[in-house]
Amino acid sequence: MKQPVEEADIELIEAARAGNAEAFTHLVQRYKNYVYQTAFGILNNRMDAEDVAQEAFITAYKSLSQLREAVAFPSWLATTTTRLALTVLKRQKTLRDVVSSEEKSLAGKPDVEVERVHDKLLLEQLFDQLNEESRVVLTLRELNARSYQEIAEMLDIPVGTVRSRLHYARMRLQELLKNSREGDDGR
Amino acid sequence: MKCLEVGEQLSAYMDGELTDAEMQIVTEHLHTCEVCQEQLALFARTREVFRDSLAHVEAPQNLEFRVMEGLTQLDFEHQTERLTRGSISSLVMLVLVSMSLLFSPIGKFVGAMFTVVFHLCQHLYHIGAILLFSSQLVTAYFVIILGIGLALVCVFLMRHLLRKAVY
Repeated sequence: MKQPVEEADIELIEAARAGNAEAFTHLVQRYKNYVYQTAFGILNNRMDAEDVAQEAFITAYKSLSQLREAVAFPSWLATTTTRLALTVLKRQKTLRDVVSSEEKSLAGKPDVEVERVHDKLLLEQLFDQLNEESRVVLTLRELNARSYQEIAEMLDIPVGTVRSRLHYARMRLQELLKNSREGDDGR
Repeated sequence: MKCLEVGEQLSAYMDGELTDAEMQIVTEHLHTCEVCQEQLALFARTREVFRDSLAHVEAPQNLEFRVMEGLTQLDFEHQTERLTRGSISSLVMLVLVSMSLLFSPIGKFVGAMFTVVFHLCQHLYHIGAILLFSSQLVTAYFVIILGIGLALVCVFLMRHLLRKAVY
């Protein structure tokens, strides 16, 4: 599910690269959901995802001149977002190691309204029950359409580990969906 | 090949991440195994649900505003940095130009001219004071006016020389 790049986007990207701030504003409008979804998929926390998305756009604006091809913009933006989100995740992990178990259970819980998805499964419920590793690989694969090799490089793990993590994540997701369906039928 | 042996390969098969040889083995297995066919369909369904779930996630409305605010702040920082850098380099340039002018032949010439004019004026003053005035107050006024005049001449000369040096 790669983010498509339209002709209009290419023009905007080129203009933004040339220093046109207004063109970049349009790019923010067009890609904000994609960036936010990537951050949320990894972090499972709306506030953190918002911070990461903001940071990702600002970082992108600062280093737009480094982008070689305009057509690679969505993927490049997603990489920036992923890196920032993974840094946040790492920081949270370190923090979690020092906070009490009581605080731990509160950390990362979504605090705002949730959307309904297919199978009457709440998104946050689904994400809550997936572990961090599963969420990250699934987001990189399913949302950003990354290859196993790219995921391996981003997470600094072997390709074989990516393969097994994805397999485990899908099995777990499948189980959650099944449980949810059974729960709905039982009601 | 048994279903258990396919295992993780099924997920990678769906992603097109198997080698040609592995791909062929799994494809052949799928032709004969309904359980794995069903599992593959379930994986596809899971993928759909995951994508659909994330597609429903919308960025908060204030994200755009926050980004723009960040960019404005960034521009402001850049401008401040540029101005500071510009001011410092201008100051350094001014000092360097002044120093070089001061120690250059032109600078020395101006200095010599200044001394000559000063001494000339001093003599003129003495002569003028003796001839025309005798009171000390008038003498003081004369010294001040002469000083201002000399300063103006120097400024004018420096300006002229600097202009010549720049263009």
